[in-house]
Amino acid sequence: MSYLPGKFLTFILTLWLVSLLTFAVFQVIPGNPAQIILGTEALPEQIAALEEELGLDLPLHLRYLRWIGGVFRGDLGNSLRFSQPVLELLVNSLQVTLPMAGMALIFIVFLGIPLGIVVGRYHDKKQGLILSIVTQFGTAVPSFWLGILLMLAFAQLLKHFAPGTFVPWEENWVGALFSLFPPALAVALPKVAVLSRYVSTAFVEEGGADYIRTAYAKGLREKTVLYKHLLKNILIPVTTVMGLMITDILGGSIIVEKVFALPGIGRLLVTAISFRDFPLMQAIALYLAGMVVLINLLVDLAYCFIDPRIRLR
Amino acid sequence: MTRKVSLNLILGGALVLLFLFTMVVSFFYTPYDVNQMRSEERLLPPGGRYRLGTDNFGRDILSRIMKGTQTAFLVGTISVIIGMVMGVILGAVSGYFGGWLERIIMQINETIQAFPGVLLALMIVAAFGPGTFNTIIALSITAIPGFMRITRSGFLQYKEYSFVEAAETLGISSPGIMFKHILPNLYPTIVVAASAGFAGTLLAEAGLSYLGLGVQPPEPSWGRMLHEAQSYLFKAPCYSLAPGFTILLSVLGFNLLSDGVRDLLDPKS
Repeated sequence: MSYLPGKFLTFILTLWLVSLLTFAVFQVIPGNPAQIILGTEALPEQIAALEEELGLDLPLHLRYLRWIGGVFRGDLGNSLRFSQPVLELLVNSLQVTLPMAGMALIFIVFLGIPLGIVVGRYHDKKQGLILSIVTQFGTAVPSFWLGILLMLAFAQLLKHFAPGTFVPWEENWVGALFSLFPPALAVALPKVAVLSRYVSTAFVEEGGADYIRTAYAKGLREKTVLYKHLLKNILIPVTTVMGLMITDILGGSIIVEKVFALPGIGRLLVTAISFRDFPLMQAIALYLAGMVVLINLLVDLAYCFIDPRIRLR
Repeated sequence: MTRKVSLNLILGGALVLLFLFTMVVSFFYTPYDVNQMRSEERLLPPGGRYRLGTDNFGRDILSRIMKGTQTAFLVGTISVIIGMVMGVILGAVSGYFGGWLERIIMQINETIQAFPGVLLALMIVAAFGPGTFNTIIALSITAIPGFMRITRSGFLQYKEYSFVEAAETLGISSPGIMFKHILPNLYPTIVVAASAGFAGTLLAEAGLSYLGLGVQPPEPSWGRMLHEAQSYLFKAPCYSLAPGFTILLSVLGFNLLSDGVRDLLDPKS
């Protein structure tokens, strides 16, 4: 099968399997979910009512169809803990998580690639070795610990920063950005180190290629050679790594949000798990995994733009 | 061929050995009882009687970190072994046989990879409850795709070689060819991946325990210690530093070891 249609087919199939898996995980819970949610003191009528609300009286396949139908209509059910539509909760928390993930991604790209090029360029000199040691440490730092350290540093250095507070966007968007800065940095820095290591390795491998020698021989300036000729050729592996990293950024955000007590999707998920709020858990899991699948598709599409030969395969 | 023992290998090997040694020692000896609380000696700074200070219950931090190596290595070793065995089998089957079998396995792989590791682990914890056993199950599943990918690409490469053709001509069974003839060629790559995978598992376990959904008290876990330390961040900053550095050094050790073994086996890099 040719490249693009094949990728689209995988995309649809994976989304469907993701929805099945998400649904299945929450069906295998031992015991009656309604009983678990309401506790031991619940009256039988209450349990029956909740069972009906959750659709537990229906057979398995009908329950799945009911749930997935709701997903398509934008109706994800009601949260048991917050007694609010799940969609509303999801949208609210995404206003925190998505900008933070976006900010982290910006840091990763704009710090990781130049750093990698610098390390690659000086790889046989002392500066390169020192930077390489720094990045080696960077890849091993747990992001949530970095978050704790950043919180300590920001609170000590900048007296204005109150850890664990989020300024809502509509109140003051500068303040909101500022409160997302340290967590985004905590998520990003270990990934900056990872990306820079990939870039520097690719850089060293590609640096000996004939076209680079030719470019230098033509008398092109070093900057042009590095950023126009070489960077273009290492974009494919870099895009692959970036695609894999997005999963880590989303996963990392779940934990880092907890460090900074941000009202994002990670905190919502942890709350949902603690209170056994199944509709909410299901929706968050489906949403996050769906986002990863979508990003993977976008990465595959990006390959076509970076290297048009791929489209013809 | 001269094989280069790199700095990575020495440093990584030394760090890993140090942690292994600490783990073995912690079975017989810790400076203080791991769970003994002393309310009059809470949050003491490092130095003095307690090398790394005490925590919010007056427990000795050094002893708890030492005991924590047991938890980290238990979870790490079992998860990586399960993930490796499953990943290698799936990768070998899909790489060697190809066809619809490969397509199904790849699709399963794609689906697992859609869930960020932490999310998958949280879903399993949500369904079955927190605890060491469920943490291991969750991290094993997360580890499968990495091993599967490298095994599959290795099999795709080696099955074209003439020694495989020769073995087929001799009438050796498919499992025989796969696991006796092709797989040994991939041992080095798998060892490198296992070491890196171990580092990833250590990080993931620490993260889950930090969220309070991994290893449960009273078993000491580095991630959980960080969770407790955060409440006393401004009062006792050192309490947050000790477990954090421990996680950092253990992950660094396995990462370096992985790089070092790769350098050793592949003279090109």
